[in-house]
Amino acid sequence: MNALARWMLGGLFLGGIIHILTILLLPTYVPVTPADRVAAAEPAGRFTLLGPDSGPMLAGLDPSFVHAVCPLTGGTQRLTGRMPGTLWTFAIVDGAGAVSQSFTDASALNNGIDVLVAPRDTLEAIRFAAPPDYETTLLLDQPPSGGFVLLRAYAPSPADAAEIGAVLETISCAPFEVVLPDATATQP
Amino acid sequence: MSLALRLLIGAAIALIVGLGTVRIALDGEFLAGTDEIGPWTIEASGRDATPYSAALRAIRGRIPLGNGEGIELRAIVDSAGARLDPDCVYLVRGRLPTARLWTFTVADHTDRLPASPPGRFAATSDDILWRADGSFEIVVAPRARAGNWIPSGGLASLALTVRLYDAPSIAGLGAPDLPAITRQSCPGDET
Repeated sequence: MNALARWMLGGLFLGGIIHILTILLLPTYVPVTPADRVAAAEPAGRFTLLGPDSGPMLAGLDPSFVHAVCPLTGGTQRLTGRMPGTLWTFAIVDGAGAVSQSFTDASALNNGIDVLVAPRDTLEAIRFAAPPDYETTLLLDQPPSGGFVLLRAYAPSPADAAEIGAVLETISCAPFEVVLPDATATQP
Repeated sequence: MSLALRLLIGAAIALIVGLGTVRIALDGEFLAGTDEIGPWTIEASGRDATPYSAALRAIRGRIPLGNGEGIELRAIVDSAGARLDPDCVYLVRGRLPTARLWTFTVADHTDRLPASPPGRFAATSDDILWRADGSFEIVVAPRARAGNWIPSGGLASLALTVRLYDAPSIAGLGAPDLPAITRQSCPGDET
């Protein structure tokens, strides 16, 4: 094998390494993640509706559903409210765009949501203290990389979409101060 | 040939092969699903996603259903393995696993919806016309057809997505029979 062939073979080998590294590092180093898009476009503390073809913000959303997002600030947030009477789902999407936790209305009490999204140490403190205020509250981990909450609600017909969207916009997603029985407080 | 020239050739090959195959893999959505059943790939949205799926998700801002929400299936080829063409007519026929609700959506590879004057982008288990044996047929075509028709007009590429809401887990699916995607005609066939 002459020298040039060896260099070309080396180039192919190095190309394979570049391929693997690029694929593995893309989610970390992509300039703008889905969470960045949501955080830049939507105000924190409340849910905002997305159009059926939400363009550059999020892709691959079901056009038969109404979607609403609320950015996660990294602190503690409590999400409460009544949900529409149709099938709906709840998802926490982390900074890289992966769904870390999700459920459907089949897991909800009285078709409402009461979810506390908080850092792990705050959740452990709540579980340890077991205060009655949070007996029916679903406690979910705040993704360390930030992210957002995505609500999807089925609209049986386009005429239903506006009414369902109005219901989703009433869901609270505000920063929340956790007060435990021993009077210690965890700041939002 | 000088060392510098050989180095340049080796580096050029490495960059072209490395980045070129990344582009081909992502554009073609190769290895993007966790599992394949016929023409359908199961889209993973969580941390069990393949590295290719995670890269696509980050670039396109695509958020498939989470494990607690349901199962998302995607096809960019027909049952014969040929790339779906938005100018062709396809018949999607069969059954889907049990779910509280399923939706069938047509879009391009970047999830842009088709031009649809009637505002029809999807069929659902709620509004579809069923066959007597419990199966269904959906026609994907650029122009209007009788029955369950979903338009594909104005798209540069074609991807079919089925979302099963409140469905059993992926593991619980086993090896289900999913609908076959059959090409019926293309503009070139008529000449």
